[in-house]
Amino acid sequence: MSVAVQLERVAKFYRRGAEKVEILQGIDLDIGAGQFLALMGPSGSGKTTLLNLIGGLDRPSAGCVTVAGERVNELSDLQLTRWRKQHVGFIFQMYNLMPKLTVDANVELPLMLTGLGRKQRASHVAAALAMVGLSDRAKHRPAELSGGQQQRVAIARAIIADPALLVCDEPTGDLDRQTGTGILELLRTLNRELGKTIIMVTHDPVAANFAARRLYVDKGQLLEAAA
Amino acid sequence: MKHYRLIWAGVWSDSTRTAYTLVSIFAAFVLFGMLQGITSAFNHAVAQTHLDRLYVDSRFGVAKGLPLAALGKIERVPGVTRVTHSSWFGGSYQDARQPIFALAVDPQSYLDVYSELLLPKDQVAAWLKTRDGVVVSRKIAERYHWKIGDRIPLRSSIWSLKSDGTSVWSFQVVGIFDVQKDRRTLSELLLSYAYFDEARQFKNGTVGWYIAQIADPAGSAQVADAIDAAFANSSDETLTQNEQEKAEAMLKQHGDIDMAIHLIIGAVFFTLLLLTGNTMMQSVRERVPEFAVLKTIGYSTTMISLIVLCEAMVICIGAASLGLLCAWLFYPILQGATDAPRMPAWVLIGGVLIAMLLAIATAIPSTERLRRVNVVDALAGR
Repeated sequence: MSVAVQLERVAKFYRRGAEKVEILQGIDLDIGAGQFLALMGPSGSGKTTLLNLIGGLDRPSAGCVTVAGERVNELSDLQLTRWRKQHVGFIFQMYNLMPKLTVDANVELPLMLTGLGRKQRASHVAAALAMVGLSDRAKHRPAELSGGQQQRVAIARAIIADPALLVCDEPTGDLDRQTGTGILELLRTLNRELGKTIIMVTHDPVAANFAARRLYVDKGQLLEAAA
Repeated sequence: MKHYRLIWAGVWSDSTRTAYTLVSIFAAFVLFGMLQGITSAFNHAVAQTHLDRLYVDSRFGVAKGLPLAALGKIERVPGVTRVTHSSWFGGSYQDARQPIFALAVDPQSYLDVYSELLLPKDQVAAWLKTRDGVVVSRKIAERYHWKIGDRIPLRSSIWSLKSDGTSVWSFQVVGIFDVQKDRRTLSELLLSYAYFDEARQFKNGTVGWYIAQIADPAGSAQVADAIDAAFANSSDETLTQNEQEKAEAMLKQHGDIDMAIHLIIGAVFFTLLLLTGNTMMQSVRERVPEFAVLKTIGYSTTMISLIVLCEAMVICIGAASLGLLCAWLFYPILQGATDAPRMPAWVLIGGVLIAMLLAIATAIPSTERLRRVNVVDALAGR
């Protein structure tokens, strides 16, 4: 299995006045392509920060982040934006859909930055919505959908541009157990059938069990969980 | 414009606020269209003046007048080709609220100097031989349904009749004049000076002002000086101006209308700039998490700024266009009241350009705010 994500001596700290607040310390991590990885840990342990570094939303204070062969920490803001567009799909706990746009328009957003024509975009959107089981909700607004449905829309938006890496921050954190399980099964399908590399932050051990590999982040350190 | 759905959604992110903003911009541009129309009407009136016509007034004001005997003296000034005179009648028809711009003139010389007035020869002849005859503009004839041969009573606010001491004068309509295409006149009714002077109770033998036609408009200042010099140190000192200066002076009597209008429009747009700018800032501030999501999925700051600029353009240009359209549709009402020409195209084009500038000016602070958005903080709700 080739390496999709590689972190070398990655550290992240903030300065609060004269005080140095360390979030992550000397993280070394390899994540294979097509792996489904769960990041667990208590609140404030640094797992979301780690996810943001891998997803190219944040930069490390020290060390090197390499994703799909690209040294992400060396890219300029604009390069990083373009890189995210091509390589990463994001799924958030609160879905983060555009409230005034319909479901299909929300899903289409990443494709608006490509050179695809209207018909091609529409066909991609239809396929993505079919994959998450929401073909019949294309013209609804997010507020007209349940939480689980909204998260499915967010997943459709995340996969529409066919990124190799999906980063998920508490994707089931706002859902009940049954709905959450449905979302996790969908993520597992994307991992197994489409080969997406998935990195998921979660508090929930049941959710973490859907991942093939589980890591604990505690006080800025990374610990491999027992299988 | 494949991002139109995103732009449209942004425009209506808070529909109540957007509606209020649209109404404000709409009202401002209706006002702009109307007021600029008035300005252009005044400018048009000044632009249509003849530089080859000099107005000779008494230095002490039109009310004092000048003696009829001054006519020959003006005619003899080098450069003057023709001279005629006018006297203000100050009439109203039926009701004081229906004033008529009426002048007592010498028919033949007046028509010679005011060649833009078109009167058929037979009607000129009728006017010359009918002492109490008047010629009226087609507009006023149509307004009051006057026909040739009608006898009309006019009340003068200044002149009473020698015969019975009343101020109600009776005239016979002997002609209806038109004005050359693209020319305008303020005159609505012209009566014969000979009859007027003979019938009025006082100031006989005087005229309101003289109009001297000159051969060379470029030399109007020299001829005007020569006329004034001819009357210097007499009891009838004159103030001579060309028609354009006279028109501007008349407009200035009502205050600096142009300046007043520009100040009003400036104040309106300044207020609008603050209002719309604040609205855009508020809208962007509320949607920072949405913009953070767009940045996350690959929208650059420049792209998002352009989307915000387009939102401002849609709001400003949309409302401004409706406002200008409304002003254009309702301008004929104002046109009737001021005798203004059609609203010039530059008012509409200028209005849209101002709306574009307004959109840019209001979007810039918002885009600056977007540039400073930290995606991680915005997604975390910080």
